[in-house]
Amino acid sequence: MSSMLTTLKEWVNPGWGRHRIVPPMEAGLRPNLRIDQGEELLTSGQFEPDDVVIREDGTVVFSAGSSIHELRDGRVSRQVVCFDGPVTALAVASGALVAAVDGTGLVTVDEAGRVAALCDDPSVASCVTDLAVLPDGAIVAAIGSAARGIDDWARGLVEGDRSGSLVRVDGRAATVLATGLAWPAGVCADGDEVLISLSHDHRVERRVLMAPARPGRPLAVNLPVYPGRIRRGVDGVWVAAPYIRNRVTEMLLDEHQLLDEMVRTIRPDEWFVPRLRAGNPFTDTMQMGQLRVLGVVKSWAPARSCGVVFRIDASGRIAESAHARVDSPRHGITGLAVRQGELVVAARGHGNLIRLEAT
Amino acid sequence: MSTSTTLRRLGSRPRRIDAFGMTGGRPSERIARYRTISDLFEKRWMEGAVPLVLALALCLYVLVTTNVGADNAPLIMYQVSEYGLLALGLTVVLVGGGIDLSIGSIVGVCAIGAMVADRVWLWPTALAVVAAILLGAVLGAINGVLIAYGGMRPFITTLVTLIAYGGAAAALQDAFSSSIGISKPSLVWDFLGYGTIFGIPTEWFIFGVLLALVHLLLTRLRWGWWVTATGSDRRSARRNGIPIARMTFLTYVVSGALAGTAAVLTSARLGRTDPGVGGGWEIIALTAVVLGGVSLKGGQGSVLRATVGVVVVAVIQQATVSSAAQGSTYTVILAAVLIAFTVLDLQWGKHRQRAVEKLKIDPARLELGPLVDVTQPGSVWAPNRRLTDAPPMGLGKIRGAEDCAVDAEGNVYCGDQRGWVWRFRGPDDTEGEIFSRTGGFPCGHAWDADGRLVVAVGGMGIYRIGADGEPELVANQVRRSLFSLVDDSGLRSIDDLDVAPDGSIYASDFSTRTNTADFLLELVEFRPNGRIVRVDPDGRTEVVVSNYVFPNGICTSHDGQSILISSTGLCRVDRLWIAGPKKGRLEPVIENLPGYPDNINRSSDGNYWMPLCAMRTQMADLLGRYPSIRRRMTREVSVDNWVVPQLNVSCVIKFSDRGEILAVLWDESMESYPMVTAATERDGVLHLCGVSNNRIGRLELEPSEIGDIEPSAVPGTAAARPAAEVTR
Repeated sequence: MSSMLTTLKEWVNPGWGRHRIVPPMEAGLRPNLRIDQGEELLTSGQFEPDDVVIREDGTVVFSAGSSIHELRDGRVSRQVVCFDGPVTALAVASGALVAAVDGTGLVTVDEAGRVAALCDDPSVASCVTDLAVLPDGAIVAAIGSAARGIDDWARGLVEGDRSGSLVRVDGRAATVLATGLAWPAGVCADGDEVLISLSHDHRVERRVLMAPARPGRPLAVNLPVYPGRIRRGVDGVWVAAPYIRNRVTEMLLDEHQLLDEMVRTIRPDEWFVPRLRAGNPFTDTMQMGQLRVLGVVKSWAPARSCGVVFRIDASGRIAESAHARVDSPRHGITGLAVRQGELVVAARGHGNLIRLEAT
Repeated sequence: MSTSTTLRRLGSRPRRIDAFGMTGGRPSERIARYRTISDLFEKRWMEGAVPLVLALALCLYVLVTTNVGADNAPLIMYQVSEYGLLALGLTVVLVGGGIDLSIGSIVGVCAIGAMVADRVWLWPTALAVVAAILLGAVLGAINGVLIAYGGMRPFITTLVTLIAYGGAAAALQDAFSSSIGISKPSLVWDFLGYGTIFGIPTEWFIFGVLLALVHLLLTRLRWGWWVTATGSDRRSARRNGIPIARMTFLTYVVSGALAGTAAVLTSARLGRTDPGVGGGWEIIALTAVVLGGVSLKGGQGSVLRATVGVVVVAVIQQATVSSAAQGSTYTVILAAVLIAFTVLDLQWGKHRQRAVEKLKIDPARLELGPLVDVTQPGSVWAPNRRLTDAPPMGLGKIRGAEDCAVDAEGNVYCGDQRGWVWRFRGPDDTEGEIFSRTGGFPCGHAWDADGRLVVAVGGMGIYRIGADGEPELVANQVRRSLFSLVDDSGLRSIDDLDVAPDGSIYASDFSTRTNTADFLLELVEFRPNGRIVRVDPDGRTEVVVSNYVFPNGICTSHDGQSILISSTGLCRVDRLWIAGPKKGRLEPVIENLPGYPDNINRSSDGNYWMPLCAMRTQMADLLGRYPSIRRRMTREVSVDNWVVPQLNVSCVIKFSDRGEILAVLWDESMESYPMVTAATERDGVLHLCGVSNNRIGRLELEPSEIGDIEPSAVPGTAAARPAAEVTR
């Protein structure tokens, strides 16, 4: 009945129609091959780097699964520490490495790999998606979902999860700043404001730290990707886009009956949802444009996974972006770190660390 | 759905099998509802049909709710005749792209003029009648000159002449009012007013004759086509050499002359005139033609439908008169009806074609059995790389060879999306040559008993290609089926074929709705649109299996007793018996394949090669059960985004006559041979064709896989081994 009403409303005035529209990748998001041309820092597929930070001395530190690794001189890798649960986010706070460990909470790790508990409050014990250090030294943690685990991003999407929150960690004390967020996947301090990326809402917004529960001011809305972690750059911020929006998935999100049956009867890795990397072709459904014609998959083929990072400049415009080709093995960019003209991105989908020139 | 008992045979046509039962659909699902609406809307006669049906409904409503009855019929008929003549003229003008508002005033001038000529100037009555009609034509010609040659807007010009002629009529009336009141006995006048021709009142008779004439003029004669062309698109009409100015001019002359005729008939019937005669008639006639579905935009309309509109208007008028309502009520009703139908005309004309396009694809529910997990190691299905490294042939030359055939000398013939048939002289020929140009989309290839190449040319039909490369038509149509809204007689989507021992050709026509190049649409719609056609050696054609979901591969069995048919849509292979005790029956061979089967070919060891051109996935099966979501997808999402089965993964299977899967050959890399559509064996080599690939693979078979049957020879002929020797 309600669908009939909306149809009628749209018929009376097309402006009242509400459709999930995926905008094209244009202007600052114009596709290029910057990620494909970037320098590979790891042997592809050896690790599954999720988040990456660069220490003051230039050492690249990245988390992969339950452990944290270090890259010195750009080549050699050593394992700093290994935890019981997966490391879901990294940050550098006043020289020390802060890691969010699923099932434990926030911990600090020194150079030698010694671990000290920072905060074990239940609110930051699971599904921490990103950490940011505020100017006063406190840490803000983005919690993807209160009900689901860190790997249940797709389940949250199809079930319409909006239980994400923003938590301020001040020493051992944790305060919940905002709740009811649609899978916040990235957070970044900006003066007396924080930028957060709401993954399931495909938007990046600003919230005032004094009143973080108030609705935020949009910075980028209706993105063609699901935004992830945010890092400060020279001009504006860099945002990682782990997942790309697919027009058919967007359509299926309205079809609750089909989604229910899909969740009940089909293995999650065969769902028609965005992914960090292309799925197993033997079990994955194809879209017409993905057909290999005369031996080539066309670059405009509809994508289920992507490799995209983009920069939003100080004026709030998407100024530039770096892309991987539609069938590139550098998809699923979850982490990024910016330092002095270079950008290191962690492509978790295919297990890569890639160094790009940042402007 | 799994047994042959559900495959009903129709009693009236003994040899045609209805395969609808295989889909498992309810009988009500035979008719694709949205598509039927689309097919109906697409008919040309639907242009005026909806306004006309509504007009007739309005007429019925008036007849039922008011006391207008059979007594009023003669009066209604007289009015129909008089307004109808105006409506005829107005229809001609509207079809020609103009409008004539002055007809009411022309009636006035002609009616009074006829009276004056008859009673004041005492002309012979017959002459006065002819003069009145000519006067109408002259007044119309004035409109025509101003509009056609003066380049004035029809609306404003005829509005001005409406007032001018009205003034002239009033002036005539004033000058002669005293003298035209005196009646004068006249045979002609009485005949026109009250006489009969063959028992029909003269007035009705004249209208009937003129209606038939104008109808013939508009629809059957060059003059009418020219008028219609001018009204549809002046610019292209002029570029096609049509004298548009003369055409426009003549439409107004016709309109004026018909108005003059109407004036004479009215005067004769009433025996008098009053100053208001003809006043407001133009609105009545305009309402009538719009009700009848004549488009105000020009180029569309029929005088027959306009006449129905006139009847409706006349009935409404009688209803207002007989319910003693005021005359102004009638005007208000007419105006309201005119507005409503003008809006309808605009909206209907604008949205009809869009509705046709939106409703054209109407997916059906597809319920397949549980899906076998092919990635499970240990099963016959386990992925391997046997196809991956097969050396390519014609790499980069071929664009989409759906099937190929190899002759005794080792020459490979294959199709091409561009309409060509290639010939590669042996395995080392990298250049190839274009052997034949068909103009269609060559798909299935087979050899007939005389060693001639028979090709299923998508979009064209079945062709035999001679040694010189000259295509010769074998068959391109069947008899159109009864009760089908669209013409399904053409063999548009011939996909694969094979030759039976008796020389007849069995071919699959995968869809009566889509073109060959759009075959992927069938993998979204999954409707039983396809059929199997038999071509007799004498050239006659018949449909042997109808309502099949995407029938694709066709292969005569090794014993020559049956035809194997693969249904790509339903992931199954069936056997159609063409000889023996089960002749005429359709039986399942393999059901519930994990992929979508394509062309079937005999293997040398007495089995069959068949590729699965795409693989089923859990998600594709799930979407198959939700046709409404697939319909939404076709409407809201661009074609590139439509979800189709996994076409980049494909394999070739070998199966036996009993339906056992004997071997499965994969290209695990998915880069060399995605979407294999045919696997043809000859001389120990399996040729891998793909309809969207740029190569043909030449896979050398293991000696253990090769038997001593000649796979490309027609079973039961001398070239093949005798059927008795085939181990089953």
